[in-house]
Amino acid sequence: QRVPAKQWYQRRVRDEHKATNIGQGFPDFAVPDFLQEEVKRAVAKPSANWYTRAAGHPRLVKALSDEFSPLFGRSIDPMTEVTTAVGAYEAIYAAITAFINPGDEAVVIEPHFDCYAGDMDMCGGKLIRVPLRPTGDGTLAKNWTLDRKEFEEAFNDRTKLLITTTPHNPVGKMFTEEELEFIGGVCAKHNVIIVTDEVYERVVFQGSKHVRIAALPGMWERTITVGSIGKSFSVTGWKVGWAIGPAPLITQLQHVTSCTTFTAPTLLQEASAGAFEREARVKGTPDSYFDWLSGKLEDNCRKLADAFSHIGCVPVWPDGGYFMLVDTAPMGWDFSDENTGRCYDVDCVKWLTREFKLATIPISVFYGDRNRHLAAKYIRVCCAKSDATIEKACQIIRSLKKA
Amino acid sequence: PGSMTAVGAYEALYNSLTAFINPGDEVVLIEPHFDSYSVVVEVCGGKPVFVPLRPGDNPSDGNNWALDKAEFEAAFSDKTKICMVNTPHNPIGKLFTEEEMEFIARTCEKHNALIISDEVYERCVFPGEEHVRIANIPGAWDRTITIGSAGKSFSMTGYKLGWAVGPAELINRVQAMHQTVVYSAPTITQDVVARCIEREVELKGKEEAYYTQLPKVMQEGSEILSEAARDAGLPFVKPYGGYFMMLDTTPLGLEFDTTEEMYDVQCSKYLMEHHKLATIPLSPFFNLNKNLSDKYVRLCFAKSTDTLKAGGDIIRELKK
Repeated sequence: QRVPAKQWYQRRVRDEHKATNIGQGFPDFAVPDFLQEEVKRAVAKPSANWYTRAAGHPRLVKALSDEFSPLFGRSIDPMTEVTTAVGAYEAIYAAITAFINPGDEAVVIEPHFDCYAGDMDMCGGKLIRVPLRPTGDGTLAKNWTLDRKEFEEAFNDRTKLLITTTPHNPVGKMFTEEELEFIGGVCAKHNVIIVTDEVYERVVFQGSKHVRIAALPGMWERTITVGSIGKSFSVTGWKVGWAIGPAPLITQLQHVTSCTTFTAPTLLQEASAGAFEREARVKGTPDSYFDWLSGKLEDNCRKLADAFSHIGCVPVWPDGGYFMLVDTAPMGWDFSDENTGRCYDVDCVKWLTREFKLATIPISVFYGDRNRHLAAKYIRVCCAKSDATIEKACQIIRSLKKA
Repeated sequence: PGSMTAVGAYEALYNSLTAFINPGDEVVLIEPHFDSYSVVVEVCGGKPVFVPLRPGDNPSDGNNWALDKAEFEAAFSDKTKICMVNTPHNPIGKLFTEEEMEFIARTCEKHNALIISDEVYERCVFPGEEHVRIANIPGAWDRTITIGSAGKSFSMTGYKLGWAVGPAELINRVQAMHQTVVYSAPTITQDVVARCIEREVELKGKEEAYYTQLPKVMQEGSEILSEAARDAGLPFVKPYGGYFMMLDTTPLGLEFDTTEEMYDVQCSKYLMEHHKLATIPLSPFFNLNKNLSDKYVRLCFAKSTDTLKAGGDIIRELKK
């Protein structure tokens, strides 16, 4: 009966405070012309009005197979090794629901996207969280690492799944090949299925590389890779996602989606196929959307990082993705006299929203109880925003120097 | 009242069932029924309890297929959580009357069961016929979730946009489930559907309203197939709304070995292979009372005139 946190957030941030929103992970910049064209083309087709293939619109699964086969280093069968879903969100729900029975465990690397916990609860499963911890001077997301012994000890004979995200939300880390080999090795030892959430795969900053665990030797057979049109093309409202993996695993996801939605909307799948086909045509040229997106978001991130550094906060430079953590500890802000009973970061975020009309996200909500203290004094900002939003945000941030 | 949008009435149904069914709960299902109902109930660990619509003396009239009241009441127990109702009915084409709905509502009230009413075909009710909403029965609103479909209301099934309407206390739970499964339905499809509904509100009662046109189109479509069935000497179940009508294949005199597979399933395959006519067998819509499906196949009249005429021609040929 509680109003879900996201709804509360939207009401307060957008409606009440009209805050500059660098909190939530949705882009607010203009959609490129070619995407509008794809939607118009799709809408005009009579077939847009009718149900499409439940396992995925043929043109889209073919486009996904064409796009991802070279990236996985194998020939992906569009008819059996790809399934579409209503957003990567539904693909994750399907992956968890397909494999978790009451009492089963899933290991998740925290901090983690909140929906994993809700999905596990629905299935009567138990989430075993293993944290990323900052090492080094704390200024680089790549240096947030797992304690390998802690990770191995999280697995037992009840462990069914590992849930991992790269590029990582909220830390912004991109797991290296060596890290993923280690993770994959532990999963293989315990015969665990890997669900890898790679929705931010198209946002890769300079010097970083997106490594797909499913493409590593021996990993394909146990890995479900989830992707998103919304995040790849900055059209989160389209709600088109997919899962790629071996047929025996993908079939199980389809059993779930055949109960939840049965098919995803035709016209948006059609437009998504067109978007991928277009990207294939302009790959490596200045017209590439994916190249533009990485460059643009890195630019935005740099601007936000500079603004936060300027006032004395410590940004944690990401490898890629939509988000950046910022350590506010050096500011010496203290909310303990307000006696809210909440974590520092929640108080901090509310204060920034209320007093400065700057919306950010607390990261303690991404942790389980045991490791919540690791959230310390970090807040999360989103760099996938328009120039106007980024500029306004930087203005506000710089004014915080005296706060 | 509360309302929520979903990725098709299909998802609204999934959310409505999963929001309320705990393992061991019983759900009364009136059969024949749309297949996802019992599948989702079982996925939740619930137990479906089936009550048939019986053809009675006159199976050729969809509205005559009815519940045996004693049989319906006996289906309820202290474990009954939900009763599902579907009107206009798929596949029979029946419209539940106010009297029938009052009886169902009273029974549910007596056993404190929720009602989920699947009304996706509400805009396909033939001209002059009445669509009764069980949520409007006095006392029933507080226990009823009514599900609708833009796909079926506007002949745009590919948009996958549906909704659930009811008291906020119930809809909030359906919404919470929705937020777990997909979080939100696509923005574009919701926007399009909103505009379609706004248009219908403006044109309400007028000739050019889609809600005025669609019932006529559906009735005309059903008449093309009905006429063909009459010419072929094949009895059918007269529909009063929805998309479907049932065709009795008995006069074809086909014989099948039914040890492994039901008659109507084989009949449907036969019609496909030998006459290139795609139909749906009726027995998969029944779980318990498959004997009532007899020798029916289901025809869909929500098709273009060309398709229906071609289908009608094939049906006439069957006579030979």
